[in-house]
Amino acid sequence: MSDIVDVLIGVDCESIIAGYGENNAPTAPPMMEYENLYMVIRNGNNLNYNKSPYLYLKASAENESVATSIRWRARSVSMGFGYEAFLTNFILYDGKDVITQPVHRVLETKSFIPDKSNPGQLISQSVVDHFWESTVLRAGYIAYFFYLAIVDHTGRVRGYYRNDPAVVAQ
Amino acid sequence: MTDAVRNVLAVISVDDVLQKHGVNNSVDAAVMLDADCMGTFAANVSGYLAPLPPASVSSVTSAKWVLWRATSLTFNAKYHCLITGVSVEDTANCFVSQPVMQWIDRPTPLVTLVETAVQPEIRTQTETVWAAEIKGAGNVKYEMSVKVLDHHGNLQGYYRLQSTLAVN
Repeated sequence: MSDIVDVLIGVDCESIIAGYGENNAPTAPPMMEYENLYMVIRNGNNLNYNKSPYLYLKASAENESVATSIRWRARSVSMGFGYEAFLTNFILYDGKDVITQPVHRVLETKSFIPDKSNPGQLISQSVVDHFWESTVLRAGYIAYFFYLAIVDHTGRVRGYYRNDPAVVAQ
Repeated sequence: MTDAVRNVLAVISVDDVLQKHGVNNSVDAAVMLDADCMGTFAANVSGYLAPLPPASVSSVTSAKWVLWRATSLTFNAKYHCLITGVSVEDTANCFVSQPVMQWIDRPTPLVTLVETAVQPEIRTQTETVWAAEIKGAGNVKYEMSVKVLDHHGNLQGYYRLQSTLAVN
């Protein structure tokens, strides 16, 4: 049994490309500031969103009956219109014993949209859900890098970028 | 002047909504959400207007369209948030037209992750957005109506949210 903390990273792709330029450096990309990222987290009964590097979450350790998983997802604010953002890597550099190394998971799922010829009727289309998942091992502080790629509507990779937020598991 | 689209994304934590308000099946009594359950974010996309119909309004700003979208915090896993309407205050009519639903067939980048790099491919996907043509710069107060479904397509309720968008 597990409790899931969802973290959504809304990415202002155009501003990142304008501010940090294009590159082809997946392993050593430029560091982004927080101004073009919207970190949204569900924490208990509240949704927190801010541009702070710190996300505070209530977590249960793995050896308790309910372990906490953290799932990170990233999308462009335009939801793929013009640009899309994809998380490519996580590197923990502080608190490596607080959470497990995040791993990439892919879920085939579907979305619903109104039928153009009959808007009262919904039709489904298959979509792919990428997320990175980790399990909380104990209370503590974690600092990490996440890496993301920005791809444009022609399929061209416009660049890789990274950011260094933190999580405090309480 | 660069042609641009102003994108607004409403993120809704459906688990919180259902905990606080329960399942609401009444479209006429949609529950207003507060900031504990949702957030709205905005960003531009420039030079990529091709999937949109030609704007009939001659904009004085760099942006021609505002597009509203809504998603659950988990995107398509677990819940779906469908916008059923967006309306702007009468006083904002000088800044944007009344929003209407648009179907957009657009190329969508998908990727395969190969170690730490991405291998992209393009797939055409249809999305529905609520769109308004921009007439001028100003603050636009709007209300969005949202229908929430679970991942099986079962109705979880009708909700509303209000926010303000700065068009500049």
